[in-house]
Amino acid sequence: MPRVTRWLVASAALMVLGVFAFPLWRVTLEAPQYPEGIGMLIHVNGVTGVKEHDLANINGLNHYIGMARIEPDAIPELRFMPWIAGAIVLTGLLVAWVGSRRVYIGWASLVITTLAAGVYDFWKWEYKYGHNLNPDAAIRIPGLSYQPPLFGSKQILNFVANSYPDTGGWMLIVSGAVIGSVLLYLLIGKRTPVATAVRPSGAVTAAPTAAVSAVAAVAALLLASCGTAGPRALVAGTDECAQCRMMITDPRFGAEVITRTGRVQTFDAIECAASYVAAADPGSVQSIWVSDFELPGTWISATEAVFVTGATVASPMGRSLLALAKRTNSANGIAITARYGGRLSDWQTLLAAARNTASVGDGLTGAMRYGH
Amino acid sequence: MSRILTPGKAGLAAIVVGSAIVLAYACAPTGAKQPNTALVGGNAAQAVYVAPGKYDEFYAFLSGGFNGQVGVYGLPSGRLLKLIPVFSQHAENGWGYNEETKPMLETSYGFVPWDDLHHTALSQTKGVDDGRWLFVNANNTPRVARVDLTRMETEEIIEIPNSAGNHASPFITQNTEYAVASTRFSVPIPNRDMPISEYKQGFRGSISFIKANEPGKMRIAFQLLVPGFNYDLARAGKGPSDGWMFFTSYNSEQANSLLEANASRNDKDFIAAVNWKAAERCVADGKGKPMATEYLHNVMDPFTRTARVIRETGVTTLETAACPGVMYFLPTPKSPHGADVDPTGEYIVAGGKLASVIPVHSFSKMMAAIEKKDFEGNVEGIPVLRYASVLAGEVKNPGLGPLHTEFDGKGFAYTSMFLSSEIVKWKLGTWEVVDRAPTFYSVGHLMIPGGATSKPAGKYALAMNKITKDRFLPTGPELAQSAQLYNIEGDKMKLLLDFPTIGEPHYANAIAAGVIRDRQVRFYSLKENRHPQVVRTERETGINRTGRQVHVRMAALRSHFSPDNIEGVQLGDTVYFHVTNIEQDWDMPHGFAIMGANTAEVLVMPGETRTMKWIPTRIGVYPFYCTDFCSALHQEMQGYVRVSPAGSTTPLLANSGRVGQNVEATIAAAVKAKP
Repeated sequence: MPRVTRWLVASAALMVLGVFAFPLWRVTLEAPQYPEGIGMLIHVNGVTGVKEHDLANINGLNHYIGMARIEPDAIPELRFMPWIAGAIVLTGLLVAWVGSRRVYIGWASLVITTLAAGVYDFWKWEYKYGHNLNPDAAIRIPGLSYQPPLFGSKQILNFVANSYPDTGGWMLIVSGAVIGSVLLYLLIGKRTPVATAVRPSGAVTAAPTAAVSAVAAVAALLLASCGTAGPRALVAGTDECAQCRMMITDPRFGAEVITRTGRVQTFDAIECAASYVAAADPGSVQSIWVSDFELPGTWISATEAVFVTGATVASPMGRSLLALAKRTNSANGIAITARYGGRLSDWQTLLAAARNTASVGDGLTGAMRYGH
Repeated sequence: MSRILTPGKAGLAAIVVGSAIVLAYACAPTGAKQPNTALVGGNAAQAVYVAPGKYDEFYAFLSGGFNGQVGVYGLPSGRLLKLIPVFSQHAENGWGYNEETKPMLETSYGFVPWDDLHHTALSQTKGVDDGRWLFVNANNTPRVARVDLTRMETEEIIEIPNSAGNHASPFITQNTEYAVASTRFSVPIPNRDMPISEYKQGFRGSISFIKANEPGKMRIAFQLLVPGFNYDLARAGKGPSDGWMFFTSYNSEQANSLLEANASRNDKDFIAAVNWKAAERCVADGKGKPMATEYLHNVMDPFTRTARVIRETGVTTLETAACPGVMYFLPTPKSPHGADVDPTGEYIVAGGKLASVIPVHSFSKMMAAIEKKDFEGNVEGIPVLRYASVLAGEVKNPGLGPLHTEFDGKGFAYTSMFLSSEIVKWKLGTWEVVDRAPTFYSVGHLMIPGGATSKPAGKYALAMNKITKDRFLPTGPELAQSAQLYNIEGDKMKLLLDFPTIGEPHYANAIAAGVIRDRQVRFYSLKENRHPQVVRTERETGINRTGRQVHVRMAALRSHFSPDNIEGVQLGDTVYFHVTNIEQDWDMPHGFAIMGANTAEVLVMPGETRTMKWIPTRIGVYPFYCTDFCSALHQEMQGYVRVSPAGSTTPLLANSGRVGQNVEATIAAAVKAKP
């Protein structure tokens, strides 16, 4: 292997030492009752609270929903992970010193597999904690699991769970990216021997370039994963309407628009969502969700929902506009209009109406007028 | 005929009189029904508005007067943040009711559940409030307490022997060397059975200097025995006058009856200047005399969080005659209340409540006069300085009833005027009145944050008014006291806000919020809890009997008690519930109350142990429950105690149950019961 590559491999191996100094992952919970923050840190050899008693308090909160206590002693991985990390460092240095391409390919494949297995194992623990629920728990919501995300944020009841790598984790990610890109470079380099054999100077620059592009690829992957967020539960009394700025008090009428960047915009009423979408740049909207009036907490894609306008039920913005899943009609055998009055409509019609009224003035005026 | 009104004239007169009556009604001032609001500055609302989630600039500690507590308010909003119980039982959190805090209210007279808390003093370092402790006095049964400002809790109370009406207290020296305690009511010392009419022969005053700078170790260093006047208020010297303490005194007439007339005869009473450094030297030289007496010193142990009572049996007294130079009298008109030392330490301002001027004494002139022995006489051997020799100046026509003076650190003084119900701003050195602001009504004391220190924060002044009347919505005959906040940054004082206070604040201190905000304890460390009955996990809970006493070691956590089913208690038993809140989370107290208990609830902060003593009076089953809404399942946080007849064979049982156990049994029973 070229000297630069060997140095790169050695530094990547040494960077793994970071896991002994810094936490791998940081899971934080946000809720109005915890303005001071609460969270836990996953280290190579243990789990601790961000603050001294956070872990105990998370366990205390979790018992209501039947999640098992997080006991670091009960997680065997925490006992042998330090040895694995240490082995990666030592063998990595050895591999760099030996400089054999074949040895490297074998070693790097093993390391990448180990890291991938580690991520899978972490996900499995999260799955286990999120799904293995005590049936005697005080709060049981059929079908709901509490699995925190591997990477990203998720609304879990009244908490938003944020899960991201911490310093040690980032060092491991960078290290893995470097090891992986050197591996790629060596493998690709074999198929096009001219590039490296004839122009060794090219290798000197190619290796870092490959490393950078691999890091970029990993980063892009991670970023993409946060962009594909789904609708989240509306929190009555806390969330406010992105259009009319009123507080959301009745989530049955609510709607959400997920923007291209993954941001979730919440709405107190469907007409507000329609006004928002009508005024928005069409490319900026990723998906539109409306609450199933009969199954609050269930989201229906706006294009697949049945809407009732002028229903006998009063909605927050006064238009008596509610959404139902298409199956509702046949399932109950009673015509929607017989139950709610009004007229049936669909999203395109609502949107067209919103465009007509919202074309003048700002969104707020549009929503107000639309409501009357 | 000329004396008889013709019908025409009579009609005219009637119209004139009638119109006058109508006019009189129409034009009668309706202001009497509405409080005066015209004086509020234009941007007052903005100046005191602290937006939701934002913090106040200052913590203000207002004495509670006859409620025996301290109120913690935020300034400028005037929002009440907390009541700190000190000398009075406080059913709200069990202070003085639970076994751990009851000893705090023990005195040599036995358990005293109430007192009259008059004055506050923040601890100081180099003449500046340091935010460690707040000292307060008990006026009725003489005591001084130290409140810790990281927990906002009373941690230490020392009783003052040879004292009565501990009024000139607990004023503090500039490095918290001493807090003082002096008699408002002179009494026989030592107290004994003697005719009241022999006041002049047998009644004396005492001024105690309490070592105050070591938590848990307050002690009376020495007691100066002084003439039998009424010692009223005090303030320590600072800067050049450090080492001196100035006390106002009245009743130099030494009346023992109808003081309102008999103690108001002399044109001048005295400010007593005490050189406490000289007193310290005299005591060190063995000139003090031990006197046998009895008083209690109650200290909250920081680890068991249980108060213990230390019984003291003697005190060192110091006769002024044994220590020449320890005390001088400064003649001061007339029945003075406040003795206030300006931030430079040079001026001593007296609030002569019956005087027509505000006299200001000069410390340097006083020292020069002492040097020259420029005395006009003596009282019981204590030299009386000449008024003209020590006077720096007089504020002429300040108003009526000057009581208390605070300083803004910019060369101005602010004196509360009780009778003319106003704050008078005047300039130090020229003694001219520069501004007046009315108060509603009858202002007693005044407070400028840091006003008692070398570095006042001259932004706000707070008037503590004695009379409220129409300032707030009326609430029957008993009204809240009224506090008023003024902005004093400009040339003119601006009234910003009225807010009601509870009890009767006599004195206050305020400190920049940043000094103590970040030092606030969020909860007690369960690890460091050394209460003998602590439980740190649910596994450590239990029950045991020793004779007729049953001790239940109980854990409280969201959302249950452990144990929650208790049996085997018998009539005639005394049950102690030792409840430990085993949580370690911020703002997560649990409460405990049981039906029929002849005491208050206990409120248990996370990490601490509190004990309720309960003597059941009837057999039956008694529910207990959590009184502090702790969680979504707070209403489920409950349990039962079964009380059996005396001598019953019901075994002692403390059951924490198993999840689902009871429920399953009930379902099984229901299934079986089906025909």
